[in-house]
Amino acid sequence: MAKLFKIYKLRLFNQALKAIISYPLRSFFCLIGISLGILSITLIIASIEGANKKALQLFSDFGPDAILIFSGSEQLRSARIRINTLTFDDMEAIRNHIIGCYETIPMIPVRNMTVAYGDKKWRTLGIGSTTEYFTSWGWRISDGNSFSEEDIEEFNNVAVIGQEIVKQVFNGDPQSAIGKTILLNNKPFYIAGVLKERGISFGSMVLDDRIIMPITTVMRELLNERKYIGAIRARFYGDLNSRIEDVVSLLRERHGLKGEMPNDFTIRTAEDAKQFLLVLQGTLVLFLGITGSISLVVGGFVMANLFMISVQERSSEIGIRRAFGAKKNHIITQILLECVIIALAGSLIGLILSFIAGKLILAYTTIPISFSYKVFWITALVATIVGVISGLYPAKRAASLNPVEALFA
Amino acid sequence: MENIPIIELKEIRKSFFIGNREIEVLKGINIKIYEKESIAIIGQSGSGKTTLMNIIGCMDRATSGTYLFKGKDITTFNDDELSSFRNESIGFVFQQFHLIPYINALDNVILPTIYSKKNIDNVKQKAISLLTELGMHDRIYNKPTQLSGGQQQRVAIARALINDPEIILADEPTGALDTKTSSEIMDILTSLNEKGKTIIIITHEQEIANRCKKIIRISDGKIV
Repeated sequence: MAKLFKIYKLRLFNQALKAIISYPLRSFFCLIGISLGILSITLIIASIEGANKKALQLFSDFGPDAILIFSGSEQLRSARIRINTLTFDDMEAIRNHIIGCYETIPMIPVRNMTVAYGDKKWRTLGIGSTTEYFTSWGWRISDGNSFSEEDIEEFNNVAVIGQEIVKQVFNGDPQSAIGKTILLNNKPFYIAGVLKERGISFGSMVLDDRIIMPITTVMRELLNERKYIGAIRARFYGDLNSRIEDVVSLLRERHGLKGEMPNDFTIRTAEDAKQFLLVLQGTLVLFLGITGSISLVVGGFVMANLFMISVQERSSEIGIRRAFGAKKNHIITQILLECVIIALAGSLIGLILSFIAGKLILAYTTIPISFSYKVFWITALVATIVGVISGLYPAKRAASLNPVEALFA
Repeated sequence: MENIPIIELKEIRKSFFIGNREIEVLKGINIKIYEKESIAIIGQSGSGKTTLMNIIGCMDRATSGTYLFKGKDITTFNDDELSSFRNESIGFVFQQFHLIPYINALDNVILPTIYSKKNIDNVKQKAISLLTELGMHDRIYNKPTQLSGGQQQRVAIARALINDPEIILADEPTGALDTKTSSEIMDILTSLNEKGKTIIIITHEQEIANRCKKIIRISDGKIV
């Protein structure tokens, strides 16, 4: 019985396939409509997956147990006004007085630092920090070495450069950079090592475009700063939220902030970084979601319309099939099969197009795109649903035709 | 068995509505058709013969009256049951051939088997031998548009035979053909009758009707 059923369905499938091939123009326009819709849907799914993947990576890069304390209030930071309010003493206090704190690292930025080597010039972000910078961020040295504790104590002009600097100044050859002396804001620095490639960017900010130096050297040689530092990275055991509360009250007390006075510092966590990325991504998803849904709906309408016309054109065929024993269900099944086969073929074309589009997006933008097998199943399901919905009305119309009238129309 | 007609129509009436006006096309038809008969139903256009054919072929329902097939009342059959009945018991041959234009001769012949519950082995082989018998062996893979009228009608006859129906129901089978081809097609139909098929031919031509053993004349919705 089951075998009989299979043969029976297969025959209808064959009929549907023959009809699809025999009406190439109709099939072609339906295919285009559906594939464009599926293209958008696939890109949405891929960009959501890409964003999630990136967010997860960012989360682990940042460290789920870490916070970043910046100088300056939220308001000043969003207005891009930089003032330094944090000190080494603040950092020591956090390390000594906050329970569960097991690591603190000071950082100070040198924005728009000039890099000069031979006739090559570049502008980058300089960061002064300690040797723990590399271990704490999980950012390994790919070539050469880090600077040492001695370098920090002795204010040595030593630098570890990011891959973007290697690309821009040393023609992409990290080995050739090691041991060279470059000018940073016109001060000579010895290159001890090269950072491993991170490959992530935040809008226009490329993470690999940076140079790390001993914080002591940066403060004295480049910034002429004696007291204040830009930011503190701290890591804790235990519940992060209650640790953050402790840090806030400690710093407020140390900075003499009373009552309603706003914080003169800003705390960021991995969660914030993730949120930031997801908000960025949200705009894209919304845009693609709307266009994707619209183009799928339009594709569906095109298909429904073309099939309505087709059913009218083929009324004689439907009459013949009915005369030779086709039941209403046979007619409905055949038309629906035609729609679903076209829709599935369209989704396959849409998938192929989206792989190409995905490659282009990855090559020319910073939008993360990630494809998985899930996309394949989701688009197949969506296409089937669109096919069935588009085909249902034409199919029912075809089946409800009076056989005599259909035959002699 | 011999005395049970294969088709028995009792007081078949059919009316259509044109606007509010009811027009009675068939006014109480009584026919008995026995197995292996060849019957011509002859009438002028407007006599109701096409409507009668549609009712005999179960493409349409009578307004009143009884239709017995081998003694069984099929007036009460629903749409699906009528479809299966047509599939198993009736082989249509039409004036305009009515082949599906986008599939080849072989696929057109196989068409009725698609909707058949019988699992016929070697459907393809059977279709090819039917086409060969009808002299179409070198046209098996041609599309209908590549065939002449006579050739198309041969394909249509092969299609009517594929499911081994009890009755071949031909509606003006030669209406679109020239005299020579007409007589060839009639030769095929009469030879089928000689091999034991029940043949019903609807026509308005006396010459065609004369080829059948029995003639039923219909005029103004009544048998005369």
